[in-house]
Amino acid sequence: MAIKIKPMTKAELRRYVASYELLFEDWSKQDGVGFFRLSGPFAQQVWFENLRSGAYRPVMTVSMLIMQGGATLHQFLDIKNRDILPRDHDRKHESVLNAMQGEFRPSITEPLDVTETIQMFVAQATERILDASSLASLYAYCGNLAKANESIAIVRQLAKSKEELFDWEQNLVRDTESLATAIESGNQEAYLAANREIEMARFTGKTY
Amino acid sequence: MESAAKKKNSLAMGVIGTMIVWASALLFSSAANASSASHVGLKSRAEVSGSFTAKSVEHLDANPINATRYYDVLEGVALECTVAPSSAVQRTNGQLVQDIATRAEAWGVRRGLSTTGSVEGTLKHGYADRLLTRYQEMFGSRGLSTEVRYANGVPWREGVPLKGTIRLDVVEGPLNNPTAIFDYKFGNAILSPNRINQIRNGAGLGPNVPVLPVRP
Repeated sequence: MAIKIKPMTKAELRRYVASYELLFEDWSKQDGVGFFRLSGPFAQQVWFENLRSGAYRPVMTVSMLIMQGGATLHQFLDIKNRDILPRDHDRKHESVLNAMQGEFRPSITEPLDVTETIQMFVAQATERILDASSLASLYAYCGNLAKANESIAIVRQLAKSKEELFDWEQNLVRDTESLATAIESGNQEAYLAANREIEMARFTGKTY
Repeated sequence: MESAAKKKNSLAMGVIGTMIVWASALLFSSAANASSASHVGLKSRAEVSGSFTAKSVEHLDANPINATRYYDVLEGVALECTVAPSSAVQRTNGQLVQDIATRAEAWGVRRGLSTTGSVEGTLKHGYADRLLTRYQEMFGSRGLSTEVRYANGVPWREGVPLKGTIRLDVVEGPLNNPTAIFDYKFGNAILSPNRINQIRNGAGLGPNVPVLPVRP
C-alpha cells in the first residue's frame, strides 16, 4: 500500500487531543491542542504538535512567567510513544497516556512543585545567557539575592565574551540589567510580579 | 488438522520475522552507500559529533549479518559483504540521516513526485521524518529528534507566535543543547550561509555545533 503523507488539520488534531482530556482535568485548555497550569514563577504546558509526517506528538515544557522568553525542561516522550500516526491512535492511546504520566517531569499527575522544578532547571542549565538570566530571575523570586547577583554576573561575563549577541540575547541582557537595578533598589518583587502579569496574559488570553 | 494450523502459524510468523529482518536490512544495508566516496564530506563533518553517536550505536548489533544476506534482495544490487557488517555497527548518525534522505528521494521518485518544488520537498521531509522515527522505534533511540521548532534559543511552545521561529529537520542530542543539526536539502535547495545564521540564531547554537546539509 502506498504511504500517504498528509499533515492533519487542526480540527482533526483537536479530536485526538480531546481523548487525553481526562488526564488533565484540573488543567486549563489551550486552544484545544494543549493544556497548562500555573504555579508561582512557572507555567507547565502539555500540548500536541501537528507534524508534517501526518503524526501528532505530545510535548511538555515549563515556561518561566517571571521573565520574557524563558522556558525549560522541554521534553518529548520516549521514541516508542513519541509520534502517533492517526492509524495508530487507538492502539497506542493507553501506552501514550501511561508514558505521559511516567515520563514527563515535573510530574503531570502531582501538583507542580516549584522547589523541585527549580532544582531540575538548575541541574540542566548550561552556560548560556538564557539559562543564567533565567536563574537570576528564579533566585530573585526565591529571595536568594546573593545567588541572583552571581547569576547576573555570569550573564554580564557571557555577554562580554561573545563576539556577537543574537537579538534575543541582547534583550535578555537588557532585562537582566533591569532585574539588577530592581534588586539594588529592593524592588525585585514588584519587578518580577509585573513580568508575571505580562507573561500570564499569554496563557489566559488563549484560554476558553 | 492441528498440526497443519500450527504449521500455518509458524509459516506466518516466519514471514513476519523475515519482513522485520528485511526492514532492518533496508536501513542497515545502506551503510554501504553512506560510506561510499560520494558522502565522504558529510561523514567527516558528522564525525564532529561522534562522541554522542558512538554511545548510541552500541546496541545496534541487531542483525548486521542478516543485513548482508538480504542486501541484494532488497536493493537489487550486488552484495557488498565486505562493507555491510562492520559499517552497519559503526554507522554514524550523519550516515543514517543521509540514508534517510536518499530513501525519501527514492520514495518521491516512486510516487512520481517532481525532483524539485516546495510541495514535493515538504512531502519528502514528512516521509523522512516518519522513516527516521520508525527506524529509532525498531532499533532504539539514536538521540535524533525530527521536526523541532525553535524560537529565541528554546524549543517553541504552544501559545508563542510562529513568526520568527525556525523548524529544524533533525536535531541530535538534548533539545536545549543540541550537538548537531541536520537539514535535508531536496531538489535544488541549498543551505545558504544566511539560513545557517537563522538556524544558529533561532536555536541558540554555539559556534561548535555543526549545521549539516543532507542531500539525497
